[in-house]
Amino acid sequence: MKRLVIKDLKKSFNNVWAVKDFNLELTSGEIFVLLGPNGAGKTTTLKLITGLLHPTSGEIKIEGIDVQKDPIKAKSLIGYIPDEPFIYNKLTGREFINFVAGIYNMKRENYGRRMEELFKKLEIGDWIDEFSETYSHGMKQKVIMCQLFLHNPDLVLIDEPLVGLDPKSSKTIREIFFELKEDGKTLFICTHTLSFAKEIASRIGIISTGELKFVGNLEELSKISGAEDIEEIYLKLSEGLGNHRLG
Amino acid sequence: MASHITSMNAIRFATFLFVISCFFVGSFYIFFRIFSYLLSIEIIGSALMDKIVEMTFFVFFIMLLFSNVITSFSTFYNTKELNFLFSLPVRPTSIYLAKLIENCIYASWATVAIALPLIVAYGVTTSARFLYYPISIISILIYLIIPATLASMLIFTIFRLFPKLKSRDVIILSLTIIIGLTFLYIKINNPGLLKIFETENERELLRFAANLTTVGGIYIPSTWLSNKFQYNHNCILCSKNPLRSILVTPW
Repeated sequence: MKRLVIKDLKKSFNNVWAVKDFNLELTSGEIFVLLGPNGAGKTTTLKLITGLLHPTSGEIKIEGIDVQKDPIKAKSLIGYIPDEPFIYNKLTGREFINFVAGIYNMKRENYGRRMEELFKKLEIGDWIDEFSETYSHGMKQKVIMCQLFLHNPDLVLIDEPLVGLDPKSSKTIREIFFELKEDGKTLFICTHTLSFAKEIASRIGIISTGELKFVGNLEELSKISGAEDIEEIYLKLSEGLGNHRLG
Repeated sequence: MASHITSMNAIRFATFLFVISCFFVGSFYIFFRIFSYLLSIEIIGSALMDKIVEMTFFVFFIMLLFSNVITSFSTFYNTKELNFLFSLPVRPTSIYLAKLIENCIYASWATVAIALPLIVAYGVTTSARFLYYPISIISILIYLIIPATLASMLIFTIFRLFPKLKSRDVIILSLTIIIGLTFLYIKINNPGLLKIFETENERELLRFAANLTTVGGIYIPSTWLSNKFQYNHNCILCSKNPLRSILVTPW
């Protein structure tokens, strides 16, 4: 089943292409990792999928729903974590989660137990009942991660999921991502952490100057680049071997 | 530890309550003295008081426009929060309304703090009926929403027309437009008001105020509000139909 379809997506800012001719199809149970240098268009692509930005042209469909035509319905199918997590400073982590649950019209008995399990998994302690203004980046990331799974989204979009997390939490996040994959969810992740991409990705995309230059699994990308190691593959492909495209 | 925090919160709350009570009582006393003095002036006293109230709310209205323009940058253009809200399945109109109310509270709390004792003092001085108080408070809330909405419309329009302008320039442009329009309105509608700068003593000031036909105008919300106070403080009809009194007469 096609969960995400992106066709001829273009976005320009002040006559400069931030995203250009972006085509991609993701199916259920797939983890797609988008790699690229700073300013390549990764975050813009994510914002276009979540409906935060309007494309200059092209279309994005989530489970057949056009993000531009029916944004409310499309947004109810996605969970999004930006690179800089946002929590209201004067709310505790738990209050913030309850606030988001309220937006999704969820009752506490439907998510309370799942949240407690996630709190345990991510080692969220009593600090969940303290004001979030006292949280570190990693603590905020954990709370955001919890609220992401409240409404059980089919498509999960994450920008830099490991920033600020300790090694143990990073491992737990990886495990959670694999569980989601097993459940048939689709994950679209932007990251600079190549080892993480290598470990979890079903397919990897490499974006440069707004264009999706290469898409494929690790083996396919290795063949094109002639390199074995993920770092070498990335460096060779992002330096530009042409507009070859796989998959 | 927990009991220590609770007692600290109780002390903070008690201090806040004390300070705010002192402020309200003090402001009420000052307004009461002013209104009592004005009412004691023969023939023109009552009319003079109403005109000063109208003028006060006119000045508040312009100040509210200013403060709404300035605070709207932190409420309507907080990118992180907006990114979070717009990524959720929430209608943009709901987000706008929530932010408008938030902006209105940030920009107007000081005006409310001054307006409340003023309303009470006006009511006490004129021996207003009980319903005058709730009707006036609801009217004030409606009055606060108008500049908040106008300010947000102004900012959005400027950003739409000149997307490359910096925030500082947008603020300067907005304030210039507000000052310009206010001056133009007074110049056309109430040219006599500008002569206030020529008054040199209390007697001249009183004569000036008494001779003014109106400070605001039929299109100015401050006039609607002060008309409402003047109408409601001795209104018998409003005690029969308070809703009609808030919504219809004589906005």
